[in-house]
Amino acid sequence: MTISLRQVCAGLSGKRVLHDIDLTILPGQVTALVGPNGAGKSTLLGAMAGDLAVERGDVALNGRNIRSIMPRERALLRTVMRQSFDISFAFRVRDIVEMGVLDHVPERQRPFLVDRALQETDMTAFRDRPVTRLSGGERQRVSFARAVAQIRSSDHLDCARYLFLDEPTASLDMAYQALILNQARSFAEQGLGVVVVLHDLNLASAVADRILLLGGGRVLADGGPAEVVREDVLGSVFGAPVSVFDSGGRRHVAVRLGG
Amino acid sequence: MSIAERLPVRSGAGKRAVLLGSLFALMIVAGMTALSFGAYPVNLAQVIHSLLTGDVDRAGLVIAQVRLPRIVFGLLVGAALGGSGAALQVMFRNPLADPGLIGISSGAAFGAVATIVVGGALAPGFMAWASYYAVPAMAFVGATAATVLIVAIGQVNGRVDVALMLLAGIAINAIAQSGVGAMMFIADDQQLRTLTFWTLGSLAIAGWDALPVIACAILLPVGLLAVKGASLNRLLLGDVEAAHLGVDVRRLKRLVVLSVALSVGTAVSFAGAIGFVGLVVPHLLRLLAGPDNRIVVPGSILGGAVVMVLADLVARTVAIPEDIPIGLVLGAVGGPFFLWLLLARKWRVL
Repeated sequence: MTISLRQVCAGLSGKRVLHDIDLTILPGQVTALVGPNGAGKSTLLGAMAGDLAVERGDVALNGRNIRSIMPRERALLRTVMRQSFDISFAFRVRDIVEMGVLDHVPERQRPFLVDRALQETDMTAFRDRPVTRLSGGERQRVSFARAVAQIRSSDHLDCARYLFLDEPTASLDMAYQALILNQARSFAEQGLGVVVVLHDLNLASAVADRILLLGGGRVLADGGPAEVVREDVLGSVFGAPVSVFDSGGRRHVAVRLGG
Repeated sequence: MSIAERLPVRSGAGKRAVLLGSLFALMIVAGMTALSFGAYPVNLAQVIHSLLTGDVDRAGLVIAQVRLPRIVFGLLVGAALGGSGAALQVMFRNPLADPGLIGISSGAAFGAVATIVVGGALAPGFMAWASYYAVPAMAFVGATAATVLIVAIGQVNGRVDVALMLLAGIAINAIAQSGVGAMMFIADDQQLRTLTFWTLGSLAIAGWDALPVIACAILLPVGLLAVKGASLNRLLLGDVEAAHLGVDVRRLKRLVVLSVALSVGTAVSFAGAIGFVGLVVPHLLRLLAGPDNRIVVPGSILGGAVVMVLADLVARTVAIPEDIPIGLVLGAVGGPFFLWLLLARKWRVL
């Protein structure tokens, strides 16, 4: 019951982005993907989620090739939240969240799942607002609420499920960054395998059990925050001088400015 | 706030049932009204009597052999245009998309016009006898050819590239339009009159003989679109997002393209190039009921049918005993009505 990648090479429009990735993602953990721009974080996430066909190698979800699982079943096994969405029709927030409630849920229960997801993500006040009038950050929170609704609609399954978050906190203020990442943690405690792409290494070391540091399409470091968030490792991968210090039992990172 | 939100039912399914049920009732009322008016005067009582008993008195004959097939035909054409317009607007993620955009109507127009002009010149005797079937048949060939071409160009590695397809549609449209223009240029006066009639659309061709084929070719694809509302909603979030939510995106897009090609191809082959309905009816639905495609798509099918039958009622009654082209009515009545609706929204009086 894992997601396993064997010898995976993958690319976008002819350009190879990932090289020979071997990985196993375990349920019940938060795994953070970090690394410089263009390191292949989102591509790796896409390969794990079954969004893109790999050029070589194999991605298996709970032992089955992920691309061979029909879309409808795949949606039960894994939930994906990308940064935001763009829509030119004036759906209400509750309509977008309802799109996350999967088709097998009977009509009578759908409104309850929607309301529950809105509550869990502190979005109840937005329920009836048209999404076309929301800010980027607010839309991101709607995406998260939709992802929660999707997870809740497959709660009855007893096999391992996964949640993929691609920079879920990019346009959010501190309070909502904390809300979303706490929620991600609690999903991991409920048994989901959570994979999250993050730019902020402080958030990554606060939330993750395991950090994968990517660079140039390869995994350069893999381990707990104490093993990956180190001055020598980060300094060489990012090519910038960084300071790492411990406070409150956590690793903290700051880039050193001014040479 | 849309009308749908003022309804006192909370559950989504209840709301959909009320709205679609009312539209269905409206369609029956429109059909009965259209049966009761026309060049030969009959009243509603005679209509009902004739429908129930099949009496072959003069009124019964007018209703059964002239009006009823024409109204059934109108309902089918309207359903094809309305439903296809709604589905295409979703697939292109653009509220301005319309069945005319992917070349279907102009392909059909070129097929029909070329048959009338070239056929008339090469084999006038044959055409006088066969044009009733040959024109729709060649229109269908034209519609299918345009669609196949656009879909082939728009496919990239087995995926439908919507932007590429739209651009190809514009190019094919331009080519077909200039073909139609060339045919008009070489047509004689009599043919020109037929051409004008065809390019503005008309339901006058309807007869019972072709209706079973038309009904199958329209109701099957349109019915498939009607039940895909939830998947179409998700497609609006983006291809990748829809796939995340369990939609087989490739299959859904293929279904939309084929359904639109078959239903609109059939409709324009027999009724001519009728614009406006495919673009405007889905918008009316959205103004009334919000953007949920579980209402908009089936609602546009029913609404398209209502609009088409009412427009045809006007087309055949304003200048008795003449039939005026239905495109004129749709533009002259529908255009200002739609403008009024848009302004009412803008000024928030509705």
